[in-house]
Amino acid sequence: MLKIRSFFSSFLLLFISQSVADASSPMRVTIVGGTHGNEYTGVWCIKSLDRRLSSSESTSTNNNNNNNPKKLYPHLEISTLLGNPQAHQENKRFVDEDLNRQFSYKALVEEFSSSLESKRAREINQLLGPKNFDEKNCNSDATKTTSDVVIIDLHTTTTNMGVTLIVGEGDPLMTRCAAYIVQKLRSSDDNRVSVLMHTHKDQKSRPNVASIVPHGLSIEVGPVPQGVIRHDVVEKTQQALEAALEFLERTQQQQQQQQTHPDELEKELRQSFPNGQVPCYRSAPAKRAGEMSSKIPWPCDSQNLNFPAWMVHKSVQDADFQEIEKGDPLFVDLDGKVIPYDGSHGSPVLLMFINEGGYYYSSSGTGISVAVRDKYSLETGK
Amino acid sequence: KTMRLRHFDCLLIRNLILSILSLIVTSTVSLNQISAMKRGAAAFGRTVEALAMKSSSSTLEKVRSVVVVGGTHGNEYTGVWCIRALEEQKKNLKKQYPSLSIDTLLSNPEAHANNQRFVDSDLNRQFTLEKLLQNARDTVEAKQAKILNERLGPKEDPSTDIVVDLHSTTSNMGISLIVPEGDDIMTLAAAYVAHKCKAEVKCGVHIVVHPYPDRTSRPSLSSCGKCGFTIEVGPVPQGVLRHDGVQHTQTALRIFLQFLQDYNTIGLPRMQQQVSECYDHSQKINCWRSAPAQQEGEMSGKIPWPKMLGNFPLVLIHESLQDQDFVKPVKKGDPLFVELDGTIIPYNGSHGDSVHLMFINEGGYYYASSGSGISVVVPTFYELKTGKFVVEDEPATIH
Repeated sequence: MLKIRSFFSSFLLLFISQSVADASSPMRVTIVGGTHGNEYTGVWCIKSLDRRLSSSESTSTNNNNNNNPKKLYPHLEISTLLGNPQAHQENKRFVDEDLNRQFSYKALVEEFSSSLESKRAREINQLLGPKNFDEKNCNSDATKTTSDVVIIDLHTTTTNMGVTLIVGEGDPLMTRCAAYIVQKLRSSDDNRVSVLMHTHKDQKSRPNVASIVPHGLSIEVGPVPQGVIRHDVVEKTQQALEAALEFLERTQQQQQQQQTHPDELEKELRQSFPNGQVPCYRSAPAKRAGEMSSKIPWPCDSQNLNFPAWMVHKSVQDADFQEIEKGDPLFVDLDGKVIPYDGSHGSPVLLMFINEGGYYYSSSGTGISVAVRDKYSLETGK
Repeated sequence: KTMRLRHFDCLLIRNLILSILSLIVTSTVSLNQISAMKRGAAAFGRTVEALAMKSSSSTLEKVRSVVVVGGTHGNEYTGVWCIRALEEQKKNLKKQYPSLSIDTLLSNPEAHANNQRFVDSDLNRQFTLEKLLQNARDTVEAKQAKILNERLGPKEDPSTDIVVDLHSTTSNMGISLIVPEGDDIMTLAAAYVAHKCKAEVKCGVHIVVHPYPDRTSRPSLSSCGKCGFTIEVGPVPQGVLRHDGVQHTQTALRIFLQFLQDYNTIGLPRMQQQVSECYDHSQKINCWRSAPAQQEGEMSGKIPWPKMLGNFPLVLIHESLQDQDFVKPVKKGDPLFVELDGTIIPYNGSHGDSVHLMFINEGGYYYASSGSGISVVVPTFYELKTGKFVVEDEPATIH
């Protein structure tokens, strides 16, 4: 079994190495904050990272040098990007429409909108991409040395989702990265950490910033209010981010040493996930315009479409990743009347993004997200 | 009565000076001189009327008109939900509170439509008599304040008896009932509502008293009426409706309206007696006194953010203080803020060696227009009958 396993892991390494830039050149990693302008945590984290990155250029104390990402991760070329500067300046999720929905083929290429976010999406696509919409090549962009290889997009949510690592299906590098982060964070106290896999069928339909490059990861942390920065949430985000960078660094190192050293990373991951399968949540496929994944919508106030006519029931509030059944209280109306779950997405159903402030907006897809429990393979990311 | 007359003497002199000054100021402006003079004269006239009338700040024998306000901060959705819910219940309200005439008001519709705290400047800081008499209309909120002043006030002699303003906060303040020092009906109401709320809710319930004995210098919207009462509920994110936040607000509001109804039925002395019985016949009610305002824009004293980039703080509030509103005092030397590189900034003792905090990490207080920073409070007592602070030799214990 051991021989077969090591054969597979070598094969896997080879497969991964095909999908990243040449091992001798550093892996480019761009960390994005403020894709949603009022998610202040990500902006804090990139400012903090910028400070650490620039500290190497000046004479600094030993402490700063030890903390310098260039020294910690010599095989990575790390940069940061403020996703939506105008929205951030105004403390809004977006100015015209959700930036994190602008990177599908339809939004980026087919439909030419004059919205601020549409323009910004094209700018970012130039900076970090351009996005390759060809489904076959989505994991083998090795030849594009001018484009970034990894994007880590930092988000927060008003919902009680803890740390959620959001990946696309079929990318072994980032799905293994997510598994590594889970392993790392679970060893510390009070850290609920989950993996959420979006199942878009191809690169053309993936609408988010992280989908610009072959390897994307979103780190979503909550609960935290919009327009507010919480110390504990910043720390959790930074822990997840550092674990991701560590994984990528070790992956790069291992590539250089692959003939002489065994796959340490694989061994470690197998300790936490012995059968090579990682438990995760899978989002239901999107149905309506604007949503990334399927939701149970609520009706909106006739005078203000961004103000709900129904409120999330307190028995469901903060119960992210828990199940409810048909007939359970789900919403409450202005008179206090309880509206039960109608079973439209099956029963029982698992809910997440329960009362996310951003989902009061049709541009982001209004409502409560629906997911199912699943697992993915460490080898294939499927 | 003698005391009140003296107070009104000062008030009259102050208002006369203000009216004259505003006349002088407006008349030196080249445009619209005549209309400016008219406005000044009208203000002068109102002031004289106010003097001629009975006290407009306390001890109404009966309260009649009540306006429940929501959306003063446009992204505090809880209040907007609650006033909508009240509107659906208009008939029931008449039955439940027959002595009251209750209306609702969305006070900052433009900010609410944009899901912003405010468009240009904090609406809840626009209502000092000085600002209202200045008649500035340069910001959305300054204009809106004039409109609201006509609807609820005018400030010098309000048409509305009770203005109750519904707010929410991102900080862990449970149900906080905010009243001004010296308003005997509202401080009595706060004592009544606090006591009854505690029996119904699991969250913390607090009475916060702002040291503004003179109604004309109060900047809040609720000070536009003869009596003002603010219900502040948290934690709730901005731009989000939480069922528990709404229920807490509605509970406090329901009990407040019941207080007013009972007050009308049994009168002030018996109401005072009833409330006193809730507090074991004490004549003192424990509360939190906010520190006096120091910075531009703030309603009450704060520890300011040491570093900002526009409206983005360059420090975090240390996690040991997060969610510890009213509960954990910060002592000189304790961790207070955290910088971008992780350096901890300790509390320097600027407001005293050991202080209690509220509005810890309130999203609105990232804005200078609202007074940025963390609010400082002191546990103390007020007299049940007058609503004035009790001067104590020993500091109050925290309940």
